[in-house]
Amino acid sequence: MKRYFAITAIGKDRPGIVSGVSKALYDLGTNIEDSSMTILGGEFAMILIVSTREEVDASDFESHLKELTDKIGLFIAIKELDESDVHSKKPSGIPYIISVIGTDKPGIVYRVSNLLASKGINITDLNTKVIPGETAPVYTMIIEVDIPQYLDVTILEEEFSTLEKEMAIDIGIKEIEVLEL
Amino acid sequence: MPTLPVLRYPHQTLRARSLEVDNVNDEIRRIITDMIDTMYASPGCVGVAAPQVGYPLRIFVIDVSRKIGPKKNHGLLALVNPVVAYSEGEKITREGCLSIPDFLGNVKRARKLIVMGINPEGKEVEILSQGLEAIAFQHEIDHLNGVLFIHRISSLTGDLVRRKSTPKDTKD
Repeated sequence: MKRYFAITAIGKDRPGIVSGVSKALYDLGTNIEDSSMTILGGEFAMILIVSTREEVDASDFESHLKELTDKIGLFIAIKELDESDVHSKKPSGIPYIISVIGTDKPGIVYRVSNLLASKGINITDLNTKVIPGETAPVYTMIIEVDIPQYLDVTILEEEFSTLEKEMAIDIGIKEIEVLEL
Repeated sequence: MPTLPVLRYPHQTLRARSLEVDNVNDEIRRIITDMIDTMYASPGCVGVAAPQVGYPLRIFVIDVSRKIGPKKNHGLLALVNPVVAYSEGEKITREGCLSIPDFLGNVKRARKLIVMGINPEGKEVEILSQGLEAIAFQHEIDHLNGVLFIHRISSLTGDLVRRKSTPKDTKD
């Protein structure tokens, strides 16, 4: 039986973080199943899904990564996962892209995501960027969501349009065209 | 209706350049019929190239009407030795592939093209195609050259996504 762990690590960006973490994991005999890493505001962040032999547990990761975390000040969190969660393919709805653009102000992410959550719409990907505008910075957010089949998208569009006026932002929603070949 | 097993990446046949067909005979027509059956047996699938089902030959079948209905496409088409004679524009579509079942990828391709080739009756044809059908043509022609959609994406974060559900059967 293999065991699965999610490892998240964040620290000030510098060369050697990926190689340091992956060496520690390699030495422990783990396999990196999947990962996502990015840099944001000078902080390098990684999420890794790893599989291990049955006898490895969370404290082994901590001891193997300790030297590295002490040396480069990496914050690490380890969480054990069920194998069924790692491999689950959730049955779900139709993929849509929602783009939100407006003058930067607090509450954009909250108001938009709150509306989505209230409809039971799951966010599968979200990226934001602040770009320079003519007078003030412009906030852009691209969200990928799964909209359940039973949900009427025109109702969502109406509520978005109310939110657009309230917050003076532009919200666009379109179905992602998926071609199965 | 015999359906054929679909090869999965990294099978060698999927990475090789497929061979020109010298003569569109009954044997070729039988392969085409099996490819069509295989396409229709796969939920939502709108195209199959011969190397995907183990024949390293320059043949593909597509039927985009399965997804978008009868408008803006030619319905069921089978083409032998296809060549892109002209292309224009750009369009990004999220593509899936029977040979890479767990992922979808955002691929930029031409929006409109003219494809020349031979139909199952052995006649030379020229097809003007646009939109999703044009995308399907390019995806299948890539297969004949050993190229898969994962070779055409530039970013794993934005352009390659793990499938969140199995494809819907758009047939019914």
